[in-house]
Amino acid sequence: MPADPTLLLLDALAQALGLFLVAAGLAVTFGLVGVINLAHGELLLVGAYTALAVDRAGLGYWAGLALAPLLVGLLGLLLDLLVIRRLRERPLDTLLATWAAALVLRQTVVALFGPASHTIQPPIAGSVTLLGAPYPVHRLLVMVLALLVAAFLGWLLFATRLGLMIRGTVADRTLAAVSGLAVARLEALAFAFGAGLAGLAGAATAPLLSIDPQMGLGFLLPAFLAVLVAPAGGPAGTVLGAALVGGGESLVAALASPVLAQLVVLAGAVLLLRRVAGRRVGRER
Amino acid sequence: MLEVRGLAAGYRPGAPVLRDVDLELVPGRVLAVMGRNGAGKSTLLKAILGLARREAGTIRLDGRAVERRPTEWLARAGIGFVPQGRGVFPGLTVEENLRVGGLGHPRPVPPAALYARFPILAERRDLDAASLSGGEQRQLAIARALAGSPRFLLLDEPSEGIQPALVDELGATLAALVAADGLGVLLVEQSLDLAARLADDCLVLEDGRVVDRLPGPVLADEPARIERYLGL
Amino acid sequence: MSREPLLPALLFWMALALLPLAAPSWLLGQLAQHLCYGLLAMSLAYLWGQGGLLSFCQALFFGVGAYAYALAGLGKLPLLPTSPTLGLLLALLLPTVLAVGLGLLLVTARVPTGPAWAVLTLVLGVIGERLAVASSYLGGSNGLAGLPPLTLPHPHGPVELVDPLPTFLVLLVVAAVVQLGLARKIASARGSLLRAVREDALRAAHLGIDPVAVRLRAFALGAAVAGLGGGLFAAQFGFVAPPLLGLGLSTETLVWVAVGGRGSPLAALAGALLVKTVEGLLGEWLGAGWPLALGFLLLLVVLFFPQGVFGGLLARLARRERP
Repeated sequence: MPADPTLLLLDALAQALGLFLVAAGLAVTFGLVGVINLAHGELLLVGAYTALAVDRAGLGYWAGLALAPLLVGLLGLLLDLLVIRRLRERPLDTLLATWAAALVLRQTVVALFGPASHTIQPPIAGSVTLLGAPYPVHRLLVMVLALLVAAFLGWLLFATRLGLMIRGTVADRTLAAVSGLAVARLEALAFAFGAGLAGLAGAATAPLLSIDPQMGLGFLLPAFLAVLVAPAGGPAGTVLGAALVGGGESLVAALASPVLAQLVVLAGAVLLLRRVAGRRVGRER
Repeated sequence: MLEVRGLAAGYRPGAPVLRDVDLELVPGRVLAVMGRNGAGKSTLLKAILGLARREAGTIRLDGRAVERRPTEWLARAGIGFVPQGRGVFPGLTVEENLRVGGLGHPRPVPPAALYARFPILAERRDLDAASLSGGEQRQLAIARALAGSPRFLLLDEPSEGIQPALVDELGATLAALVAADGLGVLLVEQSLDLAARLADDCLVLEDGRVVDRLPGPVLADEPARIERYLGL
Repeated sequence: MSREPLLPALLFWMALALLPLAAPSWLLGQLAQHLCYGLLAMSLAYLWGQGGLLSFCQALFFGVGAYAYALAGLGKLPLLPTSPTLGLLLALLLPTVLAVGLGLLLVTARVPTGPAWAVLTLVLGVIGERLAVASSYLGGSNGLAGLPPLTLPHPHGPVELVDPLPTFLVLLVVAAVVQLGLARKIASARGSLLRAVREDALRAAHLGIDPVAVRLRAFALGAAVAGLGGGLFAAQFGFVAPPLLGLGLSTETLVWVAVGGRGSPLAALAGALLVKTVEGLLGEWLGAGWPLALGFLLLLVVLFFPQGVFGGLLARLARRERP
């Protein structure tokens, strides 16, 4: 247990912001488009492995960070066009199909990179002294990126025409169609955007973790929790949700043990899903 | 002109709610569709817009067959819709509602012009649309539909749940719109007041079929003729 | 489907019963294990197809049944004798108790079924697997080995179920009895209640049916059948490990039921046998590609064959039987 409470809080903040980054894409695809995408974790996975592959190819980390959202965004668009769109009226089948897609993505990664885990070096290695203790630079980078993404999402949704169209489609899909908005196209775009965010998050957090093909689920569940805990719909609430879940997990891990923290988070998921499930899932369309 | 011939529609395959409906919407004229609850009036509007399953029939806009077109295409082609009930985007401000109504249309009407027609909305421009009163929401719903510069306006029971004084105002506004902009209006109503005030022609639906066509003035002059269809 | 035609089921079981005349020993042994998976598949088909409850962790009950058999068979249960027969009994009982317990969390009136419920079962599946791996009592990630086979009473003294032929026949009888029992349950009044709740729980409640009780019963029955399959599997395999209750096996179960047909437990069982047999044939050749193929298969089936391969067939036969 670290002696310094401010370091504890910094850790919690880092965890919360990291989780927000991971959950931001889900906030868009689930919170806005209303799709439960069980392949979200695998989209993050593909983002992480993209960063790995680009780095291995000698193009450096930053190129990977830039490429990942584009690649995974395209993947998301494909997923929406081929699968999600057809299963719009069938939420359970959407779950199954996205679960299958997750399996496909995961196994493709295994086929291409093997089952073992890999590591990727952060672009700026080393630490910075914060509050009298060393703190890895890349962690700070991820936190900054999370804040940038939050700001960007807010700007996109509330200060642009596209954002207005998406918010309208989310508020009342039928009314949006009747007002002349191309709802299916907007939803595909939003879904692809959410996927791209996942890719970005995967590439950004890759240097902090050991990358292995099974890590998708570890991303998916906390991300879902963060989105479901969020008091309000959409990305704004997710910041708060991520803070609660990520911060909470970090604190429990520090005070007790990481394994217990995971179990607490998962048990919390069960209790929270009970309370929250009726509100968000199964929205009227 | 918006021409509907032999329209059959419903919500489940093989169970049509509407059968063999013919009608014409002409710019500058108001066609009222009246009938009891469950007669299929709302279904008619939805079917024209592609929101209900069309089982048979043709819909022609300026001579072109459009029955296969998606809802958003029809909206952009100039068919505006004010649905029953809320008709506004919750969570969006009044101003945003008006802007969204125009986005994607070839000739959107700026909010400023709409505020001129509906001054009360100007006072509420930054409020969440869901927080407006019933009457204000109805005005917003109509303003939103007008933001797209429609040539035809379909309204589903606009007077429902609105105070009589406001209904009068609504009627005046709509009449002015028809006169000024040459809008072709399809007005579905259960209440006689608004329909009697505005209708140039009237269609009566019963059990999904057209059972009578009356000239508009009949609604005001001989209400008994229509009242028996409405079960009053 | 509410009334499964009896004839296809009887033909199916008779055909399987005649297999020993033509099939080699090793195939019978394999089929005996596959029939355990068949029980798991049937349990999910019942829960999902009839009850409308899509569970992502159905293998949890299979695994708990397997572990129950293991613990009893190895004498690791305090105050209870070392006995494979007890193990089988517990394989039925423990998952049912677990289901009732979990059901009180999951199946209460406040949790709507549908996607949220499914995600909850996903979370449970993760928790279950992690607990099994973390528990040294359960053997951790290595599991427990050296399990005794089932013993059956016999006039000349108890017989151990080791050879493929008798094992296969026992499994055949068990699976057939369970399948026919489920078919009867589905066709019964209780089955109609379950389907009514599936279609419209609110309306059912207004008609005086308690959706929670109905669903809880279905959940428990599904767990019992899955647990039985797990116990019988452990008895043959001789070894239990966390993957037996993990998400991987649960996902496979989803594939079997989706491919076979969720509308009919018989179809789901056939789906499990089919996929497992194909896996046996192609698995070695495809190697790591098998899970990939499985993923694609599930995707294709969900998109284009929502009724399943056998489900569609049985539905057509059912329609023909009823004029």
